[in-house]
Amino acid sequence: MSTGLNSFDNPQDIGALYPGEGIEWLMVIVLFALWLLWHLFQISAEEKEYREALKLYEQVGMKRAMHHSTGEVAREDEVHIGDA
Amino acid sequence: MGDGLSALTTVFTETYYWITVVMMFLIHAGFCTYEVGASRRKNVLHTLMKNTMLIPLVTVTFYLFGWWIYFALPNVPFASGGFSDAPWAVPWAAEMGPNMQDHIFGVFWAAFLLFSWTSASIVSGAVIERIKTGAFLVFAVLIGSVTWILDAAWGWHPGGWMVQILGYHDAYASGVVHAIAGGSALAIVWVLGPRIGKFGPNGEVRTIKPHNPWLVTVGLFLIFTGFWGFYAACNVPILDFSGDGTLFTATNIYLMPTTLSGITLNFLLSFSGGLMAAYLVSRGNPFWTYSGGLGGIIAASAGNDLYHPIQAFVIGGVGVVFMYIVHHWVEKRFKVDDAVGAIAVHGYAGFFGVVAAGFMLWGYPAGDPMYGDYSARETSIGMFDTDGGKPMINPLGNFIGAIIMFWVLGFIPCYIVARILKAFNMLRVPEKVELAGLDTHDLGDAYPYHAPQETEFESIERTYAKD
Repeated sequence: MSTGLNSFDNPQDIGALYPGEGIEWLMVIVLFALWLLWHLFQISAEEKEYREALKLYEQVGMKRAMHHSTGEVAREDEVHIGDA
Repeated sequence: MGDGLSALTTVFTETYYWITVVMMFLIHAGFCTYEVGASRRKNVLHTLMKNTMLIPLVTVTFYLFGWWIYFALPNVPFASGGFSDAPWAVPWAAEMGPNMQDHIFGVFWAAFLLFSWTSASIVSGAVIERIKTGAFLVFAVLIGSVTWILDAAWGWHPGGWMVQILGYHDAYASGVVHAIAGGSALAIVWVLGPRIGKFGPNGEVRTIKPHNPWLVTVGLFLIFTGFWGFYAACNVPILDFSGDGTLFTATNIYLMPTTLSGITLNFLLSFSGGLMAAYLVSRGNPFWTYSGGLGGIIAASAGNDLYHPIQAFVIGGVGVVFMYIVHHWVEKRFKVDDAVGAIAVHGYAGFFGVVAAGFMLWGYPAGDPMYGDYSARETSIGMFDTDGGKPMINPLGNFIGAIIMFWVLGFIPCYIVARILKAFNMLRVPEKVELAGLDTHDLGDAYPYHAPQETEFESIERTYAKD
């Protein structure tokens, strides 16, 4: 891929400077797809986190899960260590 | 560049907008700081990331379609003109990248993008501590890259139908950015519901204190600072207003003359009016006093290109009293949990500001008669015209405009989307996650070395927990 430019002798005739002039539509499609995919991955990851959290809180009890603000953090790894 | 003077004019304009973009970054730094401070310790990191991630998402979508909406849709929907041709604003246009024939488009785009971030970020604060990040980011794209920029096409574009037909005037976006964001936030909060425990069994309103009041106040100071860039970006520097070579050093967004000096005076006086009124009405509450400074600016922004500074002071102060009263009435009457007062400061003060400008500036030209594509019309199509045949600012036009901003483009689209998300259980975090804290599972405590301490509200909150 190249900008196609190798001289600035006639600057008034120079337009786009970026590589890929003429296939901007393709780059737009890629960006559009990446944007939508990002939403899907984010929503999926967030739902997974909540499912795991609910499972954990069920296991350890809500009173303990809420000890977060008093310094006893109900993170999965710590709870596992404590419960082992 | 044809000559040195035109090159100098171009680089000045380019640099002017570029600097406004840098300054407006502070608005976003302020929103993040403010929201993080206002949230409780167990939600700090989630709150930060929710707001931060709107930045790239609104940027990408504003590049893909937001910018095009501004230039393509200024005409009356389904009635006149249809789409305006805007080939330079589509994402595949050569102007949307480094281009030797264009030096301004990118920085102008960026200035509008920062308005987009602001519109979306305003909503972020109202919904903290219970909304799913994924849901909020859908709203951010909707508001930042669709609804706000559509209202800008209608009410900010010099050829927009609201400007041309209604005589709508809103120079520094009381309605175009703030009222629409406030209306959007109200719709989302309405469907989302209050944070657990916010309202007692008898409907009493409980205060949920910020975990860090210093971050809240520093955040608002950053927003105040960034607003200087916001104001400057709403002006167009160096414009041949009449086409005869007479240059104005500043025009407002409608390409009508104002001065940077004048808006500086009005910015500071409306800010002061807001702070002073808020201090009195809230009996010195720091949160409301700082918010009042911002509310004062927003209440006067619609007409701050033309007001006398003392008028700006009074309008800023009255607008803040209005927003304070409406906020507490809505909170008690409808159990609306606006966690940071965003609906009040932006929505109610913005609505007030647009209506006030209609009365205060009655009879002044709203703009030159033109089509949505900037080509001149021979005669005005306004409901009310000045003696000179230009669309005229008037109370009815601005009142209808305020309704359109807050309700039609703010409340309704977000209400519909919120209902859809709620129906698919995608809107609000599970109750147990909310009670434990949104940071608790994956992110962990933001302050692991702090001494344990339980607040009064947290002890109330524990009564909601059921194992």
